[in-house]
Amino acid sequence: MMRLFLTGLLLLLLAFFVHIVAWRVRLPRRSIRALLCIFAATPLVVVPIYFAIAPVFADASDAVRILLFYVSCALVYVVLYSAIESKSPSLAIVSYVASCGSAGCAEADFADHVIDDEGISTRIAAMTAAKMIVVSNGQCTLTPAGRRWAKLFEFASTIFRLPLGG
Amino acid sequence: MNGQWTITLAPVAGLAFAVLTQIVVVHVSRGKVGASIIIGIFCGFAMTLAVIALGCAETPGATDGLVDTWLLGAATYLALAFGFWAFLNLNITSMRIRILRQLLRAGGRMALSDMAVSYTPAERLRRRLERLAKGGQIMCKDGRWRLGSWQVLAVARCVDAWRSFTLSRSDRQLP
Repeated sequence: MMRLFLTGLLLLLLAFFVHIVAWRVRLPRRSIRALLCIFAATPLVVVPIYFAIAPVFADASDAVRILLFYVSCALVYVVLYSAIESKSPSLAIVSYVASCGSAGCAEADFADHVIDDEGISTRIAAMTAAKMIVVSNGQCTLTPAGRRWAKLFEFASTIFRLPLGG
Repeated sequence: MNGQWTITLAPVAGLAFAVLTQIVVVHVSRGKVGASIIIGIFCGFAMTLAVIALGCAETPGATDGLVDTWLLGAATYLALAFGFWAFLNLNITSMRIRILRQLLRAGGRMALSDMAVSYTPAERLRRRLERLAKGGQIMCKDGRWRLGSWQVLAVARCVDAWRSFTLSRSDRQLP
């Protein structure tokens, strides 16, 4: 028996199908939000229809298992999608080095081929729009919300001993 | 709690164990982050399978088939573990998180001119090359950078293929 696995898989495939069709028709401006809406809406639409036709689940644990599987796989795809949407500079570096073959490439060559157009100013603007920081008189200051996030990431870096990245 | 619920919650127990194992290993090994993540994820997977086995033992004969019991649990755990890895990776690679942490360390305020110095394109490229070389993905010999391993290249190829499938030709040109 694999009805739970197939139900979860079917829900995921349905959400993927809606996502692909929507993206082919028109790329949403806020794509991550649109993707989250599709993954949230798909079970909300499908499950009532499914239950109306054939209520199959023996108990609540079955529904929770499918939900856990569906939500975790959907979130994996949302995380992966951010790498699909805008090419990661690290992946661009590796692709470029591979294209150079055994001759390799010099560090100066990267400037022309590896694109990282989201410079510091773009990120500052995005963080200002998200109300994480405020910029005035040439000074960048954390907002209370930004401070909370910063403390959370600093706490995580202490617990998991993560280096300062970027 | 009956066996069905034990099986249901096995991936969550596995994830919790993976997180705890990573914390212990990274502190015992004095900062070997990459190894601690891999060990944590493997231990979490083992815990997931052990909890599923416990659930099966609690209610013999009442559990679902092989796929629904084991594959669904394992797949759910792997998806959750990927989320954990992505969270750690984001902390290591994200420039926005770096900016937030640097601001916090500087007392919550920093001059924009000071920040710009730390984030020049050359500095960002240097940090990325250093990270990729440390991970063995690329290597530098006689001033020339070459591919060190094929795994990340395979990921890059898959991402390119999926981008071609998902986005229309005109949207692929957008940044």
